Amino acid sequence: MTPPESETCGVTDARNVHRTFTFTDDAANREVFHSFSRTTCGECAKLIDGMRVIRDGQVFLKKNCPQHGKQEALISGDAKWFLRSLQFTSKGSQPHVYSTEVKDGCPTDCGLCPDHEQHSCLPIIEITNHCNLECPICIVQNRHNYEMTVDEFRGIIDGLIEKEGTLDTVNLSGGEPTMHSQFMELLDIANRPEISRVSISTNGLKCATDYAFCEALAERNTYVNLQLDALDLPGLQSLRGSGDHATLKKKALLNLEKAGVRTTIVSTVAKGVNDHQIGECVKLLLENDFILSLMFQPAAYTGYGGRHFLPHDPKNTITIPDVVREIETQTEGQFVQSDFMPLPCSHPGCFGLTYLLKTEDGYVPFPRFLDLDRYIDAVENRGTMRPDARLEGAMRDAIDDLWTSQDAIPDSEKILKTLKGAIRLMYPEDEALKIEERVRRGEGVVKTIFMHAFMDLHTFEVDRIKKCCTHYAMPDGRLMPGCAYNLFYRDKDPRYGGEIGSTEIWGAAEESQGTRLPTAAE
Amino acid sequence: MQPLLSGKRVLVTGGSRGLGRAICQVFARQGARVAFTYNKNEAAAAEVLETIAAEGGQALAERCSVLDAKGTAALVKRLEADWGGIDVLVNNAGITQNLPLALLEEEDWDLVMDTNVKGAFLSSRAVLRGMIRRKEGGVILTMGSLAGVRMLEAPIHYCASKAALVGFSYALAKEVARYKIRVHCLAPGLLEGGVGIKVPDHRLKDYLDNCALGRLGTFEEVAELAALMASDRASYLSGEVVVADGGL
Repeated sequence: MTPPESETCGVTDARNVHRTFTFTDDAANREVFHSFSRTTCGECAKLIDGMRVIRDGQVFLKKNCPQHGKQEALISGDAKWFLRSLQFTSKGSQPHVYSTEVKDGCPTDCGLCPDHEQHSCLPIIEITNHCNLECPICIVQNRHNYEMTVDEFRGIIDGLIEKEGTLDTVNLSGGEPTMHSQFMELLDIANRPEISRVSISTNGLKCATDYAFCEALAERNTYVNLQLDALDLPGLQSLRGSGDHATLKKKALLNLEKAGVRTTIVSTVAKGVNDHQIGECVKLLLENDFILSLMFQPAAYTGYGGRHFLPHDPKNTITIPDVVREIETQTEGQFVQSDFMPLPCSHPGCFGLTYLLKTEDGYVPFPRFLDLDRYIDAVENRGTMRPDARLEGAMRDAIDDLWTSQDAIPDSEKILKTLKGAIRLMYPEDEALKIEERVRRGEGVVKTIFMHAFMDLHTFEVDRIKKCCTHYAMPDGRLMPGCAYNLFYRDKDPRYGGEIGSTEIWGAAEESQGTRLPTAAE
Repeated sequence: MQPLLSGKRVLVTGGSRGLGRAICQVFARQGARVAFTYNKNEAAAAEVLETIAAEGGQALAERCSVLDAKGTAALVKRLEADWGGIDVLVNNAGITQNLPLALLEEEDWDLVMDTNVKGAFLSSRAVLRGMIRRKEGGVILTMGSLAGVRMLEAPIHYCASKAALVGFSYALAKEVARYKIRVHCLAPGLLEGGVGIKVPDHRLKDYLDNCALGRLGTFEEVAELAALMASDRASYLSGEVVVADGGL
């Protein structure tokens, strides 16, 4: 009898113990226990034990709440990706200062506590909870009654620098951050030498209707994360509510490009709604120089979205490897699964990514020419590439590999030519550049595709949240791991207490009052 | 005390920017009449002239590549006619490219070696013809680099060119010593705004960690040392490679 085919993955854990996982045909056909987990009841949010099982080539989280009974949620649409991703877990980097003590255990001591296993790669500052869209998929709960003061904001920036020393990125979010009455003043405060880049997460309405605003962003070197789930899709309103979102996004893109604002497209992907548009988003990234990266966020059903995007089946959602599979299918193999990898600094279940090098004939994913171990080292503990010693070492290895194996590696000559051009651009012969300027110049030849999976009550796991590197920065100095804050703290945040306020919702206004966006010509 | 270079007639190659500019200004301040060449940047050359004039010095600039043998010879001939001779030549013009071996192509190698080595040869040959004829002595000062005398993480064509200038200076010192012409090579370490601007930040940090003075040098500091080496006060110095690196 022929033994079943198997695929083995090795992983060395934090205690330096090497463990091997074997994925067999057998495991693809029946339910196999993988590991225990600490999770939450999808109904009452109580912390309960769970276990990860592999079934039908997917990974599920099973649990049994004493009050609400047995539950199950999909946590990875591809068991092989899941097992392989465990190899990418790396030791985290610690912040200089913790804000809370270990008292009752994760996730009730957030702030960060010394039990947290990663520093802040991406601090998010929610400067307002006003928003002019009412998206059924929104993972927060905007109460339209809070605007951060300038002093609070300045205190947060000072605190972040105290905790982290230097930061690659600080993100301003909301609500809709551009609705803050002193928005530009806040951007100016965040423009500190210790912070390499300041980004904003926006629905694009302000960018679409106010070109001068886009110019002001460009003057401040602000990066824009533009929420855009699909370019043209009638069903988009099920994600974003009323309104002509297609026209809104197109106008926003036009203005951002014209003003020269470096832009990231952020696409929330809901299964059966817009997952067939993933390839279009990739195309948008590749065809536009001002768009540096693309972030896919598999939908999480929490906050406003937890109540308004119903019904949904936690066993039939889209996960990171599903997005990767769709990218491969919808780009007709231009990018394949092996081009992507988990981001080692966070939990491998939370982030996946690839970097793409722009050559004269198109884009080549870094893993096709960069040794994977060195590649992991280069992006460890941050999501962005910086021209430092580790990246230089990895790139030099890659260059030597390409040069000595030119027949074995496709496109090696084009890649080498591109790298040579990039080096000359980043290290010009007659100009002194700061590292941030070198990064900016490098951005012209590198694009990134990220996947960031938020957790909801169905998929929440304590070991994932402990490795979270996306933190909400609070006025009281705490740094709250994103999903923990959304699930357990946001509804108790005193900033958002009191009466629910009101904000004019753009789509609703458009329908009832005939509000329209200007055309491209205007 | 009389200025170091009082009455000296000096030609500096590549004098519009960086170290070359500082050499022109310091030499003029020390009493020399300075002529310098530049390759492209006319505006920068004009600035140097203005600065020197503002300080009461004398200078002139001529656009001329060090690889232009005829142009260099013509400039030297004209200076000799106007000034009666050239006492000091500073071979300063040079370039680098921050490329690893795998990305270095033949044209890159040729460009750096030609500019840095052949350029020094052509300028020296043009100036020495008159210096030897006049038999009044003189100084050929060639700007090398720490990268030419130490094992450093630096582009190999640049290092090779700077090492070549060391051999060039040694052999030339011996050959023209009988005419009382002194030949030196001055090899700076990393300088603020110099080739260090192409060095990745982590390597700059490494340099500073190992440098006894714990800082980068300045163009002015190296130019002051160059003035001393070119002056009569260094009359017993020849065939020497002087390294100014802050103590590595």
